[in-house]
Amino acid sequence: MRRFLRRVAGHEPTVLLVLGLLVGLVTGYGAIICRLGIDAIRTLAFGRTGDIAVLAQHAAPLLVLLLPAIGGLVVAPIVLLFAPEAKGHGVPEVMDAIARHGARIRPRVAISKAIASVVTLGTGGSAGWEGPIIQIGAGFGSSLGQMSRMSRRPMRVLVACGAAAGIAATFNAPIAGVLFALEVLLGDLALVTFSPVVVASVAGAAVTFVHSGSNAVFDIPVGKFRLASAWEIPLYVVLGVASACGAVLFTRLLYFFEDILEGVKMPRLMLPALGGLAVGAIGIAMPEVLGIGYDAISRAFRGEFGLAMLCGLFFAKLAATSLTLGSGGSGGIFAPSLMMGAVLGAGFGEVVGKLFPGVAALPGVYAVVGMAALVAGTTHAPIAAILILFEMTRDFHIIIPLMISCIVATYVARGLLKDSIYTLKLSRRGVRLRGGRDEAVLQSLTVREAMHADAIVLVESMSFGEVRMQALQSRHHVFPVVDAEGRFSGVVTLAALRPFLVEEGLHGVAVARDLAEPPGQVLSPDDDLEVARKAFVRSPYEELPVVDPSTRRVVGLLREHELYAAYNNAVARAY
Amino acid sequence: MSGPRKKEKSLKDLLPADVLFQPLKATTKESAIGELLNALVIQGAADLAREGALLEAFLEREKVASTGIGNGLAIPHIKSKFADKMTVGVGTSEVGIDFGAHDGEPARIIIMWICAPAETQAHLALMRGLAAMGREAKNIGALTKARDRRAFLAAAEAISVEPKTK
Repeated sequence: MRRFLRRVAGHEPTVLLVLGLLVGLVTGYGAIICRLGIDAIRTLAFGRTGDIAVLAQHAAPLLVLLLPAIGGLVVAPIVLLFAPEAKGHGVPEVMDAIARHGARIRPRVAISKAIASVVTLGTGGSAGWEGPIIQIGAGFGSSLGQMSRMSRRPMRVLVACGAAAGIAATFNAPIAGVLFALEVLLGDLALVTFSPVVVASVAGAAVTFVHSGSNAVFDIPVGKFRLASAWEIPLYVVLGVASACGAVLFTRLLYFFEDILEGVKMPRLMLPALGGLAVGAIGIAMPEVLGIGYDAISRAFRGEFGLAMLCGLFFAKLAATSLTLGSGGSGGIFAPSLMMGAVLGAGFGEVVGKLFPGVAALPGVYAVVGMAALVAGTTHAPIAAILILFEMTRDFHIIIPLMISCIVATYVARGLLKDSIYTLKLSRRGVRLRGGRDEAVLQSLTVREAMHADAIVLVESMSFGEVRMQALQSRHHVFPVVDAEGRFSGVVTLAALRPFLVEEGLHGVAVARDLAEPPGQVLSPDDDLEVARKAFVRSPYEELPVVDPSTRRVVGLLREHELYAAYNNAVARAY
Repeated sequence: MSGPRKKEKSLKDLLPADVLFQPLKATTKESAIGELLNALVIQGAADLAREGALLEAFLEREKVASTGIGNGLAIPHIKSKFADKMTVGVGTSEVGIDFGAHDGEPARIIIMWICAPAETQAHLALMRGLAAMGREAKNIGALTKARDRRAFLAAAEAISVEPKTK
């Protein structure tokens, strides 16, 4: 295998496509094995399989109380002894690996995560099963990259392939899988990144399709879930705000419980059992919160819960998930966000249905939209949230309310809390990720360290002929322009010059000053690279002039890839 | 098989519809720029209060390199943050004004413009067109005969501004 990988490693884009396909298939089958494992544990506990919320309703209360605690007892040694990264909800560890560890994930993490999550979810822990599958996929992608001795950049792509396939296989949502990987993990939409991720995502969804059919995860009456009238738009804005508040509450509470439970004076091995016991107690009163919660979501769509029950379910799911994951159980946060969003949306629908009977749609519509909006608020990934709901319900008519509420929820949630549920876990450890990179590392480096000093500087009075010669002979795309005193005044870009390069038109009439654009984004040599990264985001150019702010003299140019090269070198030195 | 021949772009096509035409009284480069600028500002090219700053910018540009491009044509121009969009004024001088052209010819046609900083492409396209037009002395001769805006535009319609490719 290793020899084969080395032999084909000549053409990187092709290699990435082939490996992306492999990652997608393995992740897809990983999802199936996980689901079979969850079913097997439930059969063992209840004598038959099915949604745990339904099973628990007909089971002895003592079993419901103790089962999550037993699960916790099994999970604790797996996590503590084999792979501490397997604790919690998985995605932050993948983000951390991509940003700071050259996309290296230990293979044992994926295996431990899978086993721990299957046990947690099989025994009624409140979490999602996309978390372990993302980690399996990402872990396998990273292992393949390590075996073929890939550099960091393609390894990042393979890890993202695993995450995309994980979402695609779990929710039967290949488009959302792609967007999740790009939006949450990489912050990159380059074609070379995009293609393997698409292939992996489609492969993951195809495995689900072959073994489970192409049905939508949730059945909703097609065409009926839509914007009822234009007057409903403000209601979806309010739903977006409410979902953002719910999302921030969930994010805060998850880590609050983690802090509280870590402070409890008892052996670490017993903590998940304690959390499980509390979840079991909640489960006796409200079995709907146990496990992944799809049954409760479907019932919320159908309007089967009253307002009081919906409120109760929201807070019970919030507590049960925070307890499960905060105490050391394993699983994802995506599915719990979906359920909390569904009950919040259905509750909102009940209220507005009473207040504006002629305007508001059925509560089920608000449940679907609330589901996506809460996911957008927790993950700060609105496009993935919109697409995942679109793919899970297969109803295009819902797209307008989905877009309104998800975008509002993301903006409001970001305003209330800078971090997403994923990045907060890392920023609590001092790792601040933005766009798939550690902000702290970028802030520790200066522009002076990363820039090159061989900028070609043009004087304003230089003739068009001289400017053209410099542009044609140089590998630069941006040329700083200075006045007669040597002070920076603007930039000439190859892009602006290109239409005039092959003709005589401007000869004898234009000088560098006429060709120059306004300075736009300018860096100081003492700016840190996070400032520079933001400047590149705002600038249309791949090179920015570096200017001494006191003398206004040009001291160099910084290329975008030089910024990331400096970052990668710093990361390689540190880890 | 080839399609119908594309019509060559004329000087009139290159100029904005609200181009200003002004016979000049001025006899020096500085006063000619000031006179045309005043007419452009009155037409709405920029806030009246900015006229001083704009004049300074024109004169500063002339110091970098003279805009007299020969054959009796001068093209003073600036990009300014005080302008929202490109505004063009055409001045004529019967006696001619010294714009420091390489051929020593005084300028009898002065095409002057102000554009917004982001209009680099339009700025350069106008400059290229005018340079192409100015290479033929007969074009300038045709334009100097115009006594009003209408006659100027009629003459401009007959003049090609297509540059030669190398």
